[in-house]
Amino acid sequence: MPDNQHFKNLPDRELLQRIEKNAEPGAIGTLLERYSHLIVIVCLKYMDKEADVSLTTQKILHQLNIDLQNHHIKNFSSWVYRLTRQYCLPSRTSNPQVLLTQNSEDYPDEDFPELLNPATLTSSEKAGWIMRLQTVFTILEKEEQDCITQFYIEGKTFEEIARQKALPAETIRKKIREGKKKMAAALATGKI
Amino acid sequence: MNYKPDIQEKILGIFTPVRCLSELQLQQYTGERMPAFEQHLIQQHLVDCELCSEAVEMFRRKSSRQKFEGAMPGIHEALRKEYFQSLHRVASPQKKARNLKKEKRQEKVLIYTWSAVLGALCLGGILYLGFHYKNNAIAGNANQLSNASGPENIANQPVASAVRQQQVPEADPAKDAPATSRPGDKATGLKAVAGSAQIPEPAARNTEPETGSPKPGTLRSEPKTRNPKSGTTPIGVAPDRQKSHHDSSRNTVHHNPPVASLNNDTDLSSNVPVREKKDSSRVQPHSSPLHSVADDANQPPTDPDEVMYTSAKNYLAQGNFENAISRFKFLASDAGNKYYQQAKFQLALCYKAKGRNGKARKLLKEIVSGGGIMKAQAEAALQDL
Repeated sequence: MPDNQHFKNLPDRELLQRIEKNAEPGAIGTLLERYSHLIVIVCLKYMDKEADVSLTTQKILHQLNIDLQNHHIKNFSSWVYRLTRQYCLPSRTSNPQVLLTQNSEDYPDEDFPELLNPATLTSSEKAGWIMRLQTVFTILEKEEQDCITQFYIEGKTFEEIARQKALPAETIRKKIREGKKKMAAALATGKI
Repeated sequence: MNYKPDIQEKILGIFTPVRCLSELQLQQYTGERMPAFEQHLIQQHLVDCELCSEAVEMFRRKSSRQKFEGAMPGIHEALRKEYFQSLHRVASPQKKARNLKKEKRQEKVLIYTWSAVLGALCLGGILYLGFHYKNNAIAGNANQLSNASGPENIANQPVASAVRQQQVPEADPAKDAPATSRPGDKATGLKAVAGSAQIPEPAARNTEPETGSPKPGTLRSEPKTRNPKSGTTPIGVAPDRQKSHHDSSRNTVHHNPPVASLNNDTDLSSNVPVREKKDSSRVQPHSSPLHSVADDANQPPTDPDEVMYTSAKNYLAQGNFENAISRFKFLASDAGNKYYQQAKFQLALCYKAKGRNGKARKLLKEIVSGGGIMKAQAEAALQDL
């Protein structure tokens, strides 16, 4: 059995595969530890008391342990985010499972971003993807195009773009995110 | 849109996945202690990840950060207890077994290594002892010889030549010739040294039965006299000759260290197994090979051939066949030599004693067919064979 350090070097995808295959406690522990601080800090947004935060976090971690062994999870960070919100805002919905199935925060194809990892693409695949991305870029709104170009191509930060456009940095982030979602949807549905 | 290649790569980077923020990255990013490049990477991830985006937003608040720092140790502890302690419990015996295996393997390697070292040492020791005994045997022969004839009048040359013979046991007479020199030569070599040394009086001779052929087993040497005057300086050896001879011995010693110590202890030019006698009258060598010891004892060898012949016979008496053979061979190589017949006959006897009957028979037949003074002896020896 690999030790804890070995698990720490593995990406989420590998850990999820191991959990699905053997339910290795080391892999589950590593994955939960990797996200525990994010769960705690997000819980703090909705709870004032430290004790409540600790208790809720432990409940979320326990539920994640169960989910990991019973569900086929592709994008663990979005799964954690939705579950955290369910536990922190129980009044929003009477049935937390509804949120889980809606999965509205994810891209239509959760594997899409990793498929575009340049390190895994051949030169011909790269050329094909660049062509397609350039095409889907044209369907975006002018503001979205501008934000994406400045952020990804010119390498500007949210704050720099925000200063230029006299908008909050969070708004810039959301515009970029919306533009990406549209591009991903267009590529996944085969419109382009 | 036609972008440059570097821009095309950047377009691909739009969907490049970036990991969620670690605790440290969260602290560095919110504390603005991050390089610009890494900060941009974090922002690329924040575009996609709502969880990290909210975490960053909350972490920027001081009150949230304090609560976070208070809550985290309990969470870490709970996780460790829940998932990693069981992992360690399971891993521990396996680790132990692995370590045990590793130790055993290391032990084995050590055992093999030390065995190899020990084996090498033993082998080296055996080789060294073999070499040592071999040299002791040579030294023993020299000592026996010196004891038999007296330490003071034994020239060194035979030891040096014995060492040479040891290196090249069956020396070809033709090959030996330059080293030992021809009778006529006055250069270096055994003969030259022996001649120049003018070792005067071979006191003792091998006793041979007067009738029948002489057999090596029956031969014995009897030291009759010693020269009390002769000390460390060999008699009759000129100082410059002594020096050169000494040097030549040293050269030989250079190739054979154990003998070197022997030679350094004794006088280098005092090992010639030629006996000396008090009587200084010099008589020409006996014409007959069957000359008696008594006769020889009264005849100091003046001729180099005689010296060599006498020394060869002494070697034969000592059982040192190699040296005897080399000398007899040398004498038998020159038909004009006055000891030609005798040397040939003695050489045959040496071969016979060494069990090399074929060579012995061949030589004896040659003597018989050639006629001469040794014919009758050769015939008798041939019949014995």
